[in-house]
Amino acid sequence: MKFQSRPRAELVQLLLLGGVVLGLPFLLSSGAGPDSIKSVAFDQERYDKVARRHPNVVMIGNSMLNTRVDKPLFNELAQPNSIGYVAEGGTRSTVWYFNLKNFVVPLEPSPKVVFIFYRDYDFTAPWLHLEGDRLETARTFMKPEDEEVLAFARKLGGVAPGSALDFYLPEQITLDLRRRISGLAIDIAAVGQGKAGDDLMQKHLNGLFDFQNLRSDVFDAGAAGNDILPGESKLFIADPGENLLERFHALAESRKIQLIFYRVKRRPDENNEVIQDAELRAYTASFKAWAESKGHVLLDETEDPRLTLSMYHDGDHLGKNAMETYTRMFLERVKPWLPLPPASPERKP
Amino acid sequence: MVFQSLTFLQFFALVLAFYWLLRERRAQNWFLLAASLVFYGWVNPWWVLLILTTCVVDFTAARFLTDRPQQRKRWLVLSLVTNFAILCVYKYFDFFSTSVAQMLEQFGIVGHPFLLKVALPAGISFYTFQSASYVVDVYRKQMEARRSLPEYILFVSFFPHLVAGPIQRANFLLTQIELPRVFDARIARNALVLILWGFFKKLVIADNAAMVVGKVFSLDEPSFPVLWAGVFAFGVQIYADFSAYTDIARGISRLLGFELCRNFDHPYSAESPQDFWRRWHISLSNWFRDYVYIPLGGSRCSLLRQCRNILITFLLSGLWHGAAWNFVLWGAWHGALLVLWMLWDKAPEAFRPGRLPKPLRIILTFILVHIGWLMFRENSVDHLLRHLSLNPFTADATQWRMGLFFAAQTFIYAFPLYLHPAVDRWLDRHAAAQSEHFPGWRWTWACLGMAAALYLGLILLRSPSSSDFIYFQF
Repeated sequence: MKFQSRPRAELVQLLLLGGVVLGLPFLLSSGAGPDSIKSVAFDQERYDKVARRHPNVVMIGNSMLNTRVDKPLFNELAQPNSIGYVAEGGTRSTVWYFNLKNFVVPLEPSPKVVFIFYRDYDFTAPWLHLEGDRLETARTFMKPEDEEVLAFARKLGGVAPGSALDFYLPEQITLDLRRRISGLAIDIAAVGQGKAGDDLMQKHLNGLFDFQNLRSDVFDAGAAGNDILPGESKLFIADPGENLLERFHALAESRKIQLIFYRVKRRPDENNEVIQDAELRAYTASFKAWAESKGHVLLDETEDPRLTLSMYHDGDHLGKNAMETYTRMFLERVKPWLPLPPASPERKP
Repeated sequence: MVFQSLTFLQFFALVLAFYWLLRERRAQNWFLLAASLVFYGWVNPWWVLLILTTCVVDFTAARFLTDRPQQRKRWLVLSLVTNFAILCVYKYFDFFSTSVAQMLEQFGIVGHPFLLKVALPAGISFYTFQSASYVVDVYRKQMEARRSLPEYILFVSFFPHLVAGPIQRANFLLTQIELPRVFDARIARNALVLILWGFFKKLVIADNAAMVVGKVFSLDEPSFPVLWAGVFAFGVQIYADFSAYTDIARGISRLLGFELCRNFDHPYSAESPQDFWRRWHISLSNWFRDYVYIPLGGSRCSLLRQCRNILITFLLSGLWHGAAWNFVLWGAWHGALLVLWMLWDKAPEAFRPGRLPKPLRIILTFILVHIGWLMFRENSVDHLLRHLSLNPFTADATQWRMGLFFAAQTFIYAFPLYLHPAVDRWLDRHAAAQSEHFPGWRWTWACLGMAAALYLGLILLRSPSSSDFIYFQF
C-alpha cells in the first residue's frame, strides 16, 4: 500500500470519521426511543365483530380478498353458512397465521372451514411485509406470545432481533419520527382548522387512495413482493424451519378446521392468460400435494378463462364492477367445501 | 448489485482491502477489472459478454484507426455501427417495432409487432456512449489509441460509475488508470463524507419522495394541486436519486484513488434552461454538445440552423433516456425551451430575461423544468395530456390542502437538498482556498459533525422501502 505523505494526524482524522460511522449507533441502543410499535394492542374489537357472527366459515387474506369477494352478496348467497372475514390489505402469510391463531381458533363453536387467499409464493416467504407501518398492522393481530413467531419470520428475511442490522436500524424510532413528519405535514396542510381539521385531512387522504381511485395501468408495487427475486429458491418447502405452513396445519388440526389455500389468478395478459414458468407450476403442484396430504385443499383459479383482463383494475386487484360476477363464480367453485349447502336459489344478477 | 445493499457493502469492503494490499499498479488494475466484471455480471453473467464485445470492437477500431490511416473512416464507422446496433437491439427495437405497428394500424393494417422482449442490460447507454467517445476522440486525434486492452476494458467497466455514470472521457479516466495511485487519508476522509451524503440523498430524500410520487401517480384522476405536488416530489426524487448515485460513485472512486467528474451543480438554482443543462447531468450534456451539437454546426451557423441543432440534440437526448414517447416529448420540451429562451435573449434589451430579477428567473426555470419532469415521469401519453389540461380553478379547498400536504411532506425530507447550495457556497468561500479536501483539525470537527448528522439521518429517517436508482433503467 502506497501512502500519500501526510502528517500522522490526517490518518487519525480519517479513523475518527470511521469511528463515528461505526460507533454512532451505540448512542441509540436498540431498545431506546419511543417504543410505540411494541405498545400496539391486539384489536379486540375486530375479534368481537367476527365472533358475534358465529361463523362456520372464515376467510383470511389481503386486498386480493377485499377486491374480489363482495361480502354482503356472498353472505347472502352462502346462507345458511355464516361467513366471518379477517382481511387486511398488504398483509402476508405471517399475519394470516396470527389471524388463524387469534381470530379463528378461539371462536366457539369452532369454524369448520377457513379460506386463505394468496398469490404464488406468499406462504414460503413469511418475512414479507413485516416492516414499518405493516409491522404495526401485524401487531394488531398478535398476542404477546406471538413475538417469537414474528421474530422467526423476520429472521428468515434477514432481520434478526438483536442482530447488527436490527441494532443499526432501530425501527421503532424511525417509525415514530416518520409519523411525526407526516403529522407535521398534515398540520401545515390543515392550518387554521384545528385538531378536527387534522382528522378530516386524514379521512380525505384515506378516501383519495381508495382502490377504485387508482389507475389500472400502473404497476401494483405490492404485487412485486410475490415475485421471486433472482437467486431466491422457487422450491416448495414446508419445513418448520423455513416457513409457517406446519404451524398453520397444527393450529387447524387442533380445532378440526379444514384449510383451503385459495390461489388467486394474477393479472392476465391481453389473451387473458397468466404466464407461469415451469418452476411456479411445479411449486404449486407440490404445495397442493402437501395440503392434500394434511387433509387440506388447494384451489387454484389461475387457469379460469372466465377471469378476463377487463375485470382487473390496478395490478392484481379486480375492479368494483367485476366483484359481483366474481363472487358468483367464487361460490360456484367453493360450494363443495362449504359446511352447509347453500339453501336458497341464487339471486340472478 | 446495487450500492444500497448489504451485498455491495461487503463486496466493496473486500475490494478496498485487497486493492490496497496490492502494491503494483498493473496488479491493482487487473484486480479492479475482475471486480468490475463480477459487479456487472452479478445479476446476469451474460451482460459481461456484451460489454466485452463493445470494448474489444472499440479498442480494435481505435488501434486500426491509428495504424491504418487510409482506412480511418471505415474503422470509425464499424465501431459506431456496432455500438449503436447493440444499443438499438437491446433498447429501441421493441419500441420502434410497436410504434410502426401502431402507425400501420392507423391505415387499417393490423398485425402483431415482432418483439424481442430481451431484458435491457444495466447501464448499456452509459458505457456505449463512453466507449464510443473514445473512438471518436482517437479519430479526431484528440488522444492516442491505447495499447493495453485490459486497461481499456477497466476504463469502460470501472464498477463505481458503470451503471449510471457519470460518463467519463478517456483523456480523464483512462489516463488515471495508467498512472500509479496512492492512498491519501485526507481524500479518503472527504470521500467517506461524500458517500454518506450520497446514501442520505438516496435512502432518506429520494426514497421518501418516491413514496409520495408513487401514490400521486397511481391516482386515476388526480386534481391539479395533488398532481403538481407529485411532480414537485418527483423533481426532488430524481435529483436526489441520480445525484446520490454520482456522489457515491465519486466517493468510492476516491477511496480507490480515482477522481470522477462532477455530474451536478445545484441544477434547481439554474436561472435559465441553458443554465439548467450546464448543471444537470453534466457529463451527458457535454457528451451531446461535443459529439452531436457541435458536429451539427453548433452555434456557429444561422439562427435557424442553430435552432434545428438544439432541437435534434435534445430529441436524441430524450431518446437516450428511454425508448418511449414520453422521453421523446421530454427531450422536445427541453429543446423547445432552449430555443425559445435563446430567441427571448435576442429580444430588445428591455425585454430580455436578464432584466427579470434573479429569484424570478430561478422560479420560472424551476417551473419549466418541472413541467418537463411530468413528461419524464408519466409514461402514458393519454394521461399526460389529461394531466396537462387540468384546470387549477376546478379543484376545491380540500384538494389544495391535500396538495399542500404532499408538498410539505416532500419538502421536510428534501430540506437538506435545498440547503445544500448555500452550504456549498459557504464552503467555497471559507475552505476552498485551502484545499477541496479540507485539511486541518478545524475541518475534521466539521466533517465529523457532518458525518454524524448524515448518519443519524440515515438511521432514523430512511424510507421503509428502497427502490433501484432511477437511472439504472437507462
